[in-house]
Amino acid sequence: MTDLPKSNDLTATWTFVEPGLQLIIGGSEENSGVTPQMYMNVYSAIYNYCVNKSRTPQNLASSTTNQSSLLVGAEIYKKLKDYLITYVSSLKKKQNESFLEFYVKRWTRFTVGAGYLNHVFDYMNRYWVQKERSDGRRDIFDVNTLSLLTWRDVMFKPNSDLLIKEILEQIRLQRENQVVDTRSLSVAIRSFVLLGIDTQDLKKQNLDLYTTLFETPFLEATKSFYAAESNEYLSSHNIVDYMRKAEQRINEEESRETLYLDEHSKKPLTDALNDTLIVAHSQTLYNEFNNLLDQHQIDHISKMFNLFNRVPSTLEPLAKKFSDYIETQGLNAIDNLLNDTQNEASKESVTNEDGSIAPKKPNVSKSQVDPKLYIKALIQVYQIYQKIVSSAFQNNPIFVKALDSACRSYINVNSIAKPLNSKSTSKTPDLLAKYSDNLLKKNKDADATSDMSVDDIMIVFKFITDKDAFETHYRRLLARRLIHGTSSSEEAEESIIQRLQTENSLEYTSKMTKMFQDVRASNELKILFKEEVTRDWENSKNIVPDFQPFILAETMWPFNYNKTNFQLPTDLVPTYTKLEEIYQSKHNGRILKWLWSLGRGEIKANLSKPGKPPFTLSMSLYQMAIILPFNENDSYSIGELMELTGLDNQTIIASIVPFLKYKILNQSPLGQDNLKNSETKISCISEYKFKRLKINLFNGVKLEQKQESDDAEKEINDDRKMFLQACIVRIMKARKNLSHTNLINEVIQQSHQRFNAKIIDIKRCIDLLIEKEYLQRGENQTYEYLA
Amino acid sequence: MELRFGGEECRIRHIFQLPYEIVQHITSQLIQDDLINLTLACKLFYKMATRILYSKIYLNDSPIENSDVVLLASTWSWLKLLPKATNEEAKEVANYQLSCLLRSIQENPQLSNYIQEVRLNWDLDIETQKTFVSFITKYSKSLKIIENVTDPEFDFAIEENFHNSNLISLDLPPPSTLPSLDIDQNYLPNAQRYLIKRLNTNIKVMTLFMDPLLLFNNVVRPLKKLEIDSFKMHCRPDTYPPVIYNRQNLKFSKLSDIFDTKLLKTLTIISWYDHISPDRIYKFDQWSEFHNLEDITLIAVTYNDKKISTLLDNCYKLKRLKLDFSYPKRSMVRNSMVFKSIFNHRHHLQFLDIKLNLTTKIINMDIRDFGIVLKIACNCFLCQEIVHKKIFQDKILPKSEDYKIDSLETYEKIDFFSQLFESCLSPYSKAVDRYPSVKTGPDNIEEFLHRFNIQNIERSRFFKPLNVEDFYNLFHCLVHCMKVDLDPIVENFKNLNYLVINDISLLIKEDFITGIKYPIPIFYNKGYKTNYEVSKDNRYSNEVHNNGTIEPYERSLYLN
Amino acid sequence: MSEITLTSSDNESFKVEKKIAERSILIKNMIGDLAGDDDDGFEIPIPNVRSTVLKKVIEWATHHKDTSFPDDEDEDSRKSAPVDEWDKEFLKVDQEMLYEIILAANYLNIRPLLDAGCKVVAEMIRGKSPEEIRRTFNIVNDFSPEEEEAIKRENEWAEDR
Repeated sequence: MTDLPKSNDLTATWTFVEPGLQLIIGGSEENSGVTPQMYMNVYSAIYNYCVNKSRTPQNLASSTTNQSSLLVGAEIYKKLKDYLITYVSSLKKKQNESFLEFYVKRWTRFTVGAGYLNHVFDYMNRYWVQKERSDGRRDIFDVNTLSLLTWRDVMFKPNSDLLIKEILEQIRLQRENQVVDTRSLSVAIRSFVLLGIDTQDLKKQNLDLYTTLFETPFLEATKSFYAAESNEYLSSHNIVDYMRKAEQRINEEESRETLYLDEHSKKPLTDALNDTLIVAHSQTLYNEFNNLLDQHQIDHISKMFNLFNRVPSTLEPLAKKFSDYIETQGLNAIDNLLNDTQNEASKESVTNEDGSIAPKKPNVSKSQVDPKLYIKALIQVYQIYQKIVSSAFQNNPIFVKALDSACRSYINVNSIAKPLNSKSTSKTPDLLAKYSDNLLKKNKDADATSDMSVDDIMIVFKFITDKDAFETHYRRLLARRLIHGTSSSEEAEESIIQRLQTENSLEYTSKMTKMFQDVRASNELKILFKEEVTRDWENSKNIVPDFQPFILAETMWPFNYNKTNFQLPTDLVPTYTKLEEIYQSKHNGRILKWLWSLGRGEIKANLSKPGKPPFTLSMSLYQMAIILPFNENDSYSIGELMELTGLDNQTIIASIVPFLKYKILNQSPLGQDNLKNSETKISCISEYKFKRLKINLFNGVKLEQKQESDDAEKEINDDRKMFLQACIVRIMKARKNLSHTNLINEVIQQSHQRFNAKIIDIKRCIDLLIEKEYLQRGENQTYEYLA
Repeated sequence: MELRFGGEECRIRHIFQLPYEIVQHITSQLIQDDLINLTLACKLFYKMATRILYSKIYLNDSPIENSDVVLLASTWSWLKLLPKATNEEAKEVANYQLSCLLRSIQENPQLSNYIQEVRLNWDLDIETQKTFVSFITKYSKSLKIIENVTDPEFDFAIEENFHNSNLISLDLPPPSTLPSLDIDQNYLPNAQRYLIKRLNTNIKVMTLFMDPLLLFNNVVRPLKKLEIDSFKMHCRPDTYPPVIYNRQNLKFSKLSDIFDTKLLKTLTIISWYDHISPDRIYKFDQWSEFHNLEDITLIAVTYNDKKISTLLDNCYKLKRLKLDFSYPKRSMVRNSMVFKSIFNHRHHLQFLDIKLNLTTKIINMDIRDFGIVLKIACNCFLCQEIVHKKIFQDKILPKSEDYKIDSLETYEKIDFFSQLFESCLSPYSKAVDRYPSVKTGPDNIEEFLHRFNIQNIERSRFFKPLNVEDFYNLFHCLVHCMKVDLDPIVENFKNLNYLVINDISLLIKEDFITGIKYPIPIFYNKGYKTNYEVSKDNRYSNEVHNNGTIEPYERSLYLN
Repeated sequence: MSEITLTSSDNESFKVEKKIAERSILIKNMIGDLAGDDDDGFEIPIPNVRSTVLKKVIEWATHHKDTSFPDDEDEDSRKSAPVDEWDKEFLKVDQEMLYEIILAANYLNIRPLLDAGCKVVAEMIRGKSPEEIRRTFNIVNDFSPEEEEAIKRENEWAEDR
């Protein structure tokens, strides 16, 4: 065993120790080859020195020196520090290696050596260094930290520019698909992290060095590289290829990130990539978007979405383009439909009264558009783009919203529903109601409805802004179906009501629900009526047993009661009286207002050849009133008929035309105009021949329809006014005091589900209410509620 | 004599031939009394001992109780007071000692350099403490922690002087001495100013009297996450100005937004609420994200099974736990969720302080017969021969009529153990191994016995007064009888060193020969021998001298 | 089971299980640094420890090969942990040997043994008056009476009153 140096001799100790340090730290060219002997020798020499010097008790105690000088280490520490500095300074790069290679090689060896050194100097670390640091001397470090700091100050800082330059160069080469030594890069970059030592808190990892010296230039270089590359690429390739390339680059960079960058750089790198590859070229991509939509390239759209999705703020403009595109498509589809309809119409011709044929006028009323085609056109556009939203845009809410707003727009305002500059409300609710009517009506032709569905209705319903208009129209048609029994199935009706309820509110369908209840109640009354009649058959010989009353709540049903002079035919009076009787006995005090114009019935006409069965004629009540007198006489004048029935001339004409058409009644003299003349004679045929026994005279009555749709329009507007007023009163009652703007906003919010209230309408209603003294104006544009 | 190596033989004959650092290490094993003697031995020892003596100072206003079997809180030094003094006397002396301490460090500034930790006191003179704090903050290079800041004055003192120090603790004082009092209108502005100055420095230990979410959202917003490893919170029903309760523009919505979840190791929550309505129970589970908690203390909190057990379930390395619930439900039952959660930590828990419903009570009252029932669940010599026979049979309940009682009061007079519990004779510490234990009640053993004896003499003229030895025996018997409740813990918690049950502090020892673990009381130990099956020296034998007709675990005598 | 050879300053060799030898942090670090994969038959010279002392140290480490000791960081636990019974017996040796074991534990960086040894020495100080301490350790009183008074005054707060 070699002799250890004298423990009180600093120089001897150091001389002894130094060759060992050489080997440990890697000063010699050979592979460390540190033996246990050497290790222990160095350790022991240091130990001896420290221990020896710290043992001079009695004489030192008298001095007032700081206790830490009783612990020895300062001189050794200094020597070590100087040694490290010398060593690191002596490291020189060889001719045939790059600085990076040199750095990595030396750094790797150095860190290992520093670890050994730390162990070998453990005794000094354990006592002297710890004491110094806890006494507040923050410039004394354990040997490992000291080594790293030395490296940092001597090797790293003076050469950092060169090092970084080479690192970035390597990265650039790698980006250009050249092979580089990633392991070296990784080690070199990691050294930045390890060298970021926080002298205040040695345990904490400090990334300052890494971020300032490496990360920042790295991001700069990345940005400029990709900016240049993307520009160049775009100039020579198309968008789709560009997107592919961008994706590829992003994936590459992100895998690179895990290989040798620190976690900290992940986000900044992603941001840099997004900026240069996506955001910078977003406009170019947006411009291509419409083409992709035209070509229906779902994969490419999906790719574009994925790219933009990385930077959520870029999705907005894309969604806007998407929305605009859909809207245009929708409007175009309707325009096309309109053109087709007009073309068809112009091909049709009309037979005039005088037998001549003339083409129909081109400006045909829009209401001639087939509701089914219209709704289908609307839905089709929706469905195409719905699919794109779900497949290419992964149901991203921004795009769902874009689709919805586009649909909302074109469904309500298009060339058929509501041409620009028109002041009337959109026709879509009306057409949708008609579509529903077609679906729900009894249809001989099953094919016609096979491609219609409740789902279609609900899709369009969702987008209608004037939902109250739809309700009115729908209810009107529903009333007809209920009254005339043309509804195909009660379940179908009810299911739609259900869905409307869910989609909107209970309140929305309340009237319709009530209508169903009325029908049911009426059916019960019908049964009761029949029972009464059969029970009391002796006194009921004149009463029509199969009498279907419809007792309708006046406010729920869309029928207006007009007092008329109509005279009920005497044959029917007993039935009428009986019903009144029964009804009053059940609901004493209620008044029944009879809607004669809606009445219908069947009459057996014994007009056929003897021996042949009688005809069954279905007709309206008015028509009955007209035909029944012919039981007495064969002929009447128009004027006489008017007196008998109490109907006006227009009604007579409308009702009598079907009879004339079927030649059950004859007119003399002929001619549409002569019907206005009260002198014109009407006579009844005595023997009638027709291929069918059942004839429906009812369908010829056209008068109602136009009136009805005008009525509907008026009804809607009136309803809205009432609703707004009720809304305002409700709000003001709760709030007592409210500013003008707040009131308007509240009202708009509350009416939103039914229709889009216009501010001017709200203002008018407010004024109305002020007149009616529900409100008064306060100061500063406020209103006060008057109890 | 020189120490030489490398082949030469040498001997160390003298302690000072050892390296300085070793002698220092030896010195650091000594406690206060010995250190003081050491300071007078020679100059070198003076230097070494003083360094240790002044390193951690605990300012107490009542005497510190030491254990006769284990070194407790031995790294602290405290003010020496007479053990037998009354409360007023003790406090007076404490203040005097405090002023001596201040004098010492003022006259010898080197001393403050040794001071690393100080724990202040609510009841000692504030001015003196303030001067003390001011001085050491300014001059001590080693000062790291000042605990228990009870008055804003202390923070002012620190604020002036902390720039050169390495203080890592930050305490906000309470806004007033009691929650019912109004808070000073300067409290918040002061707190704000103080926090702004200190929050950017290295803070590792923090105490607050306000919910951190309220404080850090509406008073001061730290710029980055606080890296606290020990946090103490006092929950008090103080009323702050409305700005505190502002809910708009909140930056922090949960605790993990404020504190780094990986670093928090110690959590203490102390409640000042007397009684809490159920909807105001503290949300313990909001600390569940702090998975690295090793030390949890809940004091005077209102019990909530679910929230507390959630908190416990979410820390994986729990080593120390203290649960001290407030009225109405002071103790836990073993099948509660909380106990189950504790049980899940049995492999790494080293310190446990809880209150349990014990299965057996030694002195019971039979309500139907109005009789005393004795249940001594231990069969050993101490419990049967000494306690049962010599104390109960001979002294406390000598006649059979003593077993019949006429009122609850009489029963209470006899119930030694309940009185013992109520009298707070057990010294109290926040953690018996880490902080010095102080006497909290006014009594000492003699006074307690005196009261007990007088009451019972009144009750029965045949009663014989108990002496100090009886006291110890009864106490030891109590510990013996707890075995059935302690067993599941002692057997299953393999790393447990300290166990405090119902304020009785126990040390878990491992028998040298058999390797079995058994608990011994830390205070009032006086030659305690266990009833566990350990080697002979440590236990009482289990032989019972009886006539075989009496059941082993229950002794009850009814009036026939 | 790998074995290490430890050679004392007077050239006596001891074969020890690696796990036991690694109770010494110095040895543990060295094996970790130098051995790499092949750690069998490692030979380590211990120049500062005589064979009698080294033997004792190895005996201690062997007895405690499975013991878990409190964390280095936990000062309180280390200080208040009483000396293990076996260690107490083990360290009932003459003062010189005790000191040498302590020195060896310090040199080899075996913290628990160092603690135990120091505690045993501390035990010799416990409960003694200053004069008794001086006598036990053969120390000269280098205080003047004034200095003594000054110290007593300085420690007044910490002393029994």
